[in-house]
Amino acid sequence: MRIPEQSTPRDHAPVIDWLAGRVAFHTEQPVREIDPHLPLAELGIESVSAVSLCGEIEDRWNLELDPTVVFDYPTIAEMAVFVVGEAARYRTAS
Amino acid sequence: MPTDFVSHVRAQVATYGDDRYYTYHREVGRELVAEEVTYRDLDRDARALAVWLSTRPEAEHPVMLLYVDGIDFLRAFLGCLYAGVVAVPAPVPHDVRSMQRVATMFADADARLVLTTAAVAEPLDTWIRDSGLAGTVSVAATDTTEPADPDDWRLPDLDGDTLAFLQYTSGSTSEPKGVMVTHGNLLHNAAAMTRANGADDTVTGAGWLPHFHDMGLIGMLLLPIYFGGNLVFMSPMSFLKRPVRWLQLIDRYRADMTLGPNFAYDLVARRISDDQLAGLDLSSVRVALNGAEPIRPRTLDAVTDRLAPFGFPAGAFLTAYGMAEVTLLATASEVGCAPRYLDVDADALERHELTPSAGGVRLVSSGRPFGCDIRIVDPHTGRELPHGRVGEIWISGGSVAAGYWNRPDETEEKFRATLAGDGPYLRTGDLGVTDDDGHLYVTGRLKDLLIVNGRNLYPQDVEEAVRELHPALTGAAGVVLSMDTGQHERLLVIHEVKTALIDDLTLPGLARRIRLAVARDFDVHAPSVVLVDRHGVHRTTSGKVQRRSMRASFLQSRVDAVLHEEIDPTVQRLRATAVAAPA
Repeated sequence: MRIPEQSTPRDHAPVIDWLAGRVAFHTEQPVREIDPHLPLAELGIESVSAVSLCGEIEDRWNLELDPTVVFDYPTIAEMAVFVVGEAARYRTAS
Repeated sequence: MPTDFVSHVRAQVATYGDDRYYTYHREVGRELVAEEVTYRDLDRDARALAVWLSTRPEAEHPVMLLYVDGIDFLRAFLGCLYAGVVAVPAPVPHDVRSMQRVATMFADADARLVLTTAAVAEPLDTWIRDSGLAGTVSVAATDTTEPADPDDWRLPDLDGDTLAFLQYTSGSTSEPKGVMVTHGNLLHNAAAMTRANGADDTVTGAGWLPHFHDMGLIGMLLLPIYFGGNLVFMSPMSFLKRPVRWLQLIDRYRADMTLGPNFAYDLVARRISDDQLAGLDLSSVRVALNGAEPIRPRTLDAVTDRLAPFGFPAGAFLTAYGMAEVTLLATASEVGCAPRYLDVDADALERHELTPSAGGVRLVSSGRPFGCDIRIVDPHTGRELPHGRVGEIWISGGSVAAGYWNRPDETEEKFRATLAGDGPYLRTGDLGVTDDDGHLYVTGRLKDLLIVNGRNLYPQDVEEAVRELHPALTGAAGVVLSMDTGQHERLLVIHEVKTALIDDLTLPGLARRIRLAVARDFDVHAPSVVLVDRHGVHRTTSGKVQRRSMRASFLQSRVDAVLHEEIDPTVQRLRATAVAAPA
């Protein structure tokens, strides 16, 4: 996956933390159990939680996302890269 | 008294015309935009579509409806009914598996025409070609087709026995079962539901249910026009994205009635923040119906507690039981009354006996029958059981559907049971018990069926998918079971492994692959997995896997030849309990 030029691992860290927190909430697990490199499906996120998570990401970063985003970026780490890129694009565009 | 649903709707249109409306909230970007149509608008569009359908020879066969938005679906559905055409509601496919299911439904119904919208028509054409149906299927986009003149419409020859639509919520992917709902069934069950809900023409209903599911189609979409009320609604996706929208809808329109499956109420209790609830007034709610999947006492209590400060009335919940085979509703609790609980001994329940026990499993009543007669029958002897004994739930009455489309043997077995010469009865495949006041408690399932988020899931579909995941699983036996943790149903896969073929993977790697694939392909929580060596899965002499005895072995921790396990803690707890009980 091509990483947008303006984002760095330092940009991703807070997003990873936020996503891990939300996934922990949805799956009723402590956040330290959430591995950002495991597929969300394995962490206990199924389609109902996935769509809610999508809505939460939209609200948090002011984005418009297709609910399939959770399947396109199946781990927290990959989703963080995507979100950082999208948020940057939106800022540039507006 | 009309004997068909169309005449009834037309009478409502004549009475209420522009004074009643259906308001659909369409997702536009991140906002919801309200689209209001009156009864008169719906009638006019239905007549126009019916005229157009009468020119299409494909409409002599059942017509499939594939719509994203409920309001577009409703226009097409009413159009079919107005034309005397059998409608087949179905979910718009989004991947290979769902397209496969739609394709088998299409073949089973012997449909030749799909009604949809322009946005869906193009990808649908591609899917149809890939499924090999191109020769037999026409696709028409009703939003871009030139409308016919509604004044050319004439009421077709309809009566109570005329088939209105096919409901495909039953049946596995390889064997879909279309429940045949007649006009008589629809009128009968709509009347029963109206009585159960205490609804009248002052009511506004609110909801978000999928229109291709029996509760969404009949309970949400068709019921308001039946009793002369309003409906405000949105799509299931809109709700799931932001669950607070359901409550906002109720608040904004002062909705009197709403409905949903237990998991949705659970979302409301657990996923909506205090900030989002602030300022909402839910005091207009008179009835919140909970049905379509097992009802959890903890969910009812949690919602009542969470929403009480916002005006949600204590007795608002209406617990209900039903299924497509009885059109929709069979039983419902009393309006305005708190849910009725019964605490029973867990081990006795496993043996199908009901023993009240203060610290035991909490059952919640699904209420009393409406428009039907319920019997509890011993599934082995076929004899009726008295109150307090668990048996199979049998149902008779005008709401019981005509049968399964083109499946005479299954129809005979399921819909035409007799009890001491009386009948016919529908054999539901559910286990239950009635108390002395005639209140029904659903306690379990005879049939091999999983219900997740209100959706029916067939173990054989999942078992087939698992076998295809790796050569070490292909041709090996496996069972998929539903484990009820008390708050959810969780899947458990017990599968034999041909260890010589495992090759590239480790056992944990194979278990992971199974968990991931099942979660993704069936939209469920990743299942627990037990991998066993050859002959670890019980089979009959004819080679059929024995799900019930595997379940018993698992619960007693007596599964043979276990190679590797990954068990969800909530499922592990069930097992530990069984082991701890004295022999």
